[in-house]
Amino acid sequence: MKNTLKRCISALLAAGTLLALAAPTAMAEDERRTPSGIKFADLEKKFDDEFNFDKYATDPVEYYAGFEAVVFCGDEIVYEGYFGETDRERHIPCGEDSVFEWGSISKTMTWVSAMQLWEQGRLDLDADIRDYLPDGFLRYLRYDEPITMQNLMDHTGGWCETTYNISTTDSSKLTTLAEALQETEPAQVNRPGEVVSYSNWGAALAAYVVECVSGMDYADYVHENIFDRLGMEHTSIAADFSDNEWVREQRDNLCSYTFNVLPPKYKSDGKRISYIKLYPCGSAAGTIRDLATYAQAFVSDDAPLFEHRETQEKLFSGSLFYGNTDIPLSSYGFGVTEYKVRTFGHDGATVACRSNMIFDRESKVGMVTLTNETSTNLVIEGIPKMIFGSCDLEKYSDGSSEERSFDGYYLISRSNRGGLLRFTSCLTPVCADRQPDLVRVNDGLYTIGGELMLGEGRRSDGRESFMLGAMEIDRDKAYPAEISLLALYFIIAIGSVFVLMYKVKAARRGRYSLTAVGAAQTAGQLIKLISAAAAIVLIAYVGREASYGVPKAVGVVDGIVNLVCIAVCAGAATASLIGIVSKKSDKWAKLRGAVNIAANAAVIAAVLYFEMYRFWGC
Amino acid sequence: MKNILNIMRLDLTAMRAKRFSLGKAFLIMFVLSLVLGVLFPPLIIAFLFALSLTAVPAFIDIEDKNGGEMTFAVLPVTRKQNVIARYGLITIVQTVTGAVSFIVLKIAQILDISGMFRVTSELNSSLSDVLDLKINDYGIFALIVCLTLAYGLFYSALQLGGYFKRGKGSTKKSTARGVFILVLVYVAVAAVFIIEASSLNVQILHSALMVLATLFTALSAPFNGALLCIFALGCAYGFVFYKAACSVIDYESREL
Repeated sequence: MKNTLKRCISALLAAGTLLALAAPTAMAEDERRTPSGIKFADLEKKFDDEFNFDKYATDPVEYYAGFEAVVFCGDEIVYEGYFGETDRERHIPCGEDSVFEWGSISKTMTWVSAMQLWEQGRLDLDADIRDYLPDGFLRYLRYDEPITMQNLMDHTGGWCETTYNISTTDSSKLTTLAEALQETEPAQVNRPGEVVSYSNWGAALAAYVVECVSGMDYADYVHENIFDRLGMEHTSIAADFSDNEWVREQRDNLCSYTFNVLPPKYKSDGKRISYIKLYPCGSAAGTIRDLATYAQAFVSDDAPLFEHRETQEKLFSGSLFYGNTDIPLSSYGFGVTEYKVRTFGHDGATVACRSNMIFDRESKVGMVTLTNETSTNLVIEGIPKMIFGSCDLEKYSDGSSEERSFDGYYLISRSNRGGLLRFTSCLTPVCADRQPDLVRVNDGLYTIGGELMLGEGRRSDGRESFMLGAMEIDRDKAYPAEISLLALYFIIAIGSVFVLMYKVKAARRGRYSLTAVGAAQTAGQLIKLISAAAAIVLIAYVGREASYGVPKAVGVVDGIVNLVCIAVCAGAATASLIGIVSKKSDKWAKLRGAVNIAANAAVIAAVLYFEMYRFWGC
Repeated sequence: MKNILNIMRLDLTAMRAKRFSLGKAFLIMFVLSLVLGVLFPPLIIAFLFALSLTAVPAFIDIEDKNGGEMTFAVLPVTRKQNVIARYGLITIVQTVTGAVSFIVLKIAQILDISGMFRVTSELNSSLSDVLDLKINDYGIFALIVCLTLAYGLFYSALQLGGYFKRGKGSTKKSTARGVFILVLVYVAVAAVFIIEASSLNVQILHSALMVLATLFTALSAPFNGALLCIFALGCAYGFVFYKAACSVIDYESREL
């Protein structure tokens, strides 16, 4: 009895001791929070409260197509949510086995690969990449300055957006990475290292450098050095998912949706499988768990992707900064976003999916989201702020708050600034007149509307520019003249339609006899019309996100049409000049001739200025 | 040129022929809409629209009553001058009305008695994020005036074209046809938007709309929408010019 009592007391004491020891840990567990201050334990409720998923759950597809989110802290998953369906028609719910396309998050694998090779001493980030590439690989460089891997990581290689499409819906048209790069080499429009211009092509080129240095196929390299190291068994990187049969099968269960104004709220775009020829820039696909695993590696003190922890530290030490501050804009290819805390990551978008990966290396909290919705969804886009809190820009202020006028027209660096699509960059200007003034908060750092951060650009030509994430806007003082020239080009084409219709009518009534001068002018009118129609076809192609560019054949035909246009218009103008100086023509004929010369000159000027003829090297 | 101006004068005189003439009615309506337009700007646009629908039929009616079609037979003028004068007069009337409308619109904006511009400003700022329009509030009204004027020019040129090709009898038909086309255009535009907003996937329609939207927003960027106005009016005046040239051919080869 005595022993029993002793045992009971001992047991109670032991339990008490264990409880006393365990309680603070449990309490600490409960107190762990996201950088925004949400307790991990409350995340599920917060997701429900903030996004009202309970309500949506009655008919989730009315509010989002399919959506998955994982929040982690270190190597622990603290929230995991699966909403909606990957295929509404077949009612396949989102779940652990759902495969989504990760889009541009794939680029970070190239940057990781480059850093791995750097730490092995096989790749110099500051060496000219031409040292690693086959001779003459880059055929259309405009500047002699070296282009480094660091430039590719920072998107400062100088290339504009690609003209020709970088994806195909026919997997048999896929080529090697080297061939795809050479097929789509864009124009180099900026001096290397000067202008930030997000480039899919540049990222894919970096992957090719990895191939050249490692001597391995890029997909094999990524599998061996990233996926296998992290145990990411449900992820593929090859353009046609051929490196992971399971992923390929699961991808067939995913359809893409866009938001609809009228019911049903989501419009099915089908499976929308598009094979990216420059696959390293956006072909990764896999489950959200694998994406979380990948993101978790970047907050791990063990730095599992690298041999030395210092390499990972360097990866997130910042490489491109706002103005002359030490506030990073990007870090070796990873985007830097200032919330309540500084976060790193990358988002992605393909023709079928959107994705996001953000993590705070201090708290080790991160999140990944995936959706099969290509239209903007405010519910999903609000999640990062919910997890990481709002940025207080005041903390970056050096005390100054002087205003700087923000007016005029700016063009976006990530556009087709060279080659036959050059005119399209003028169709999407940033009109600063309607924006609030800039407020200088630090050396070369500005804010606009108290939210957006802009870094002052550093162009050698002195052009005013601002960095916004992975691209820049630069002031184009000639913009009004440029768009007027473009408008004139189109209005002359419309005028040509009227003139041609009149000529047909007059000819039917026997009122128009074709002379040599008239024939040349008619040819000029016809080619102007064809040239403008070709330009409209290009605009339609650029707007079609599914194509990511213009088919090569279309571009070549378009370029040739415009070369012919220059020749024919020059001929028509010459013929009109001959008509004017001939003694036979009356004053009205002379006036018509003068108008004709002016119209032809304007069209030639537009075609030359906007490089509409240049179907090569762009 | 002198003959053309004389024909225009003759037409204006014919308009003033009766005690309560069409010219007076037009002037009264015009002044009234200008005054009221300062209070409520959409009235100016409504007047411009009404003018574009009624100007040619009313003008032809007077022509018919006064034997204007045979002017070239009794006066030393050619059929060509007759056509140019009629196109010129209608175009000048519409252009002057449009120009005055712009001025009145500016006054209405300064006074903003009805609060229309304030409402438009709020609407514009909320829409500008979605549509990426780079036009301010006055620019939006001015653009609507411009597009109405351009429409009026197109429509009047079509009616005059029919008149010179087939005579007065065709005008009623062409008016009916014009109204029918107008309704058809509205129905087509509505159908396009409904299809776009629905779950139907019509890629070619989507591409066409995208091209139009791109060009529309690009042209609206410089000079507060003025380039877009110039573009629309350039097309309209080009069409008037084309129709006038065609009418010369039609009228000269027509049996009268």
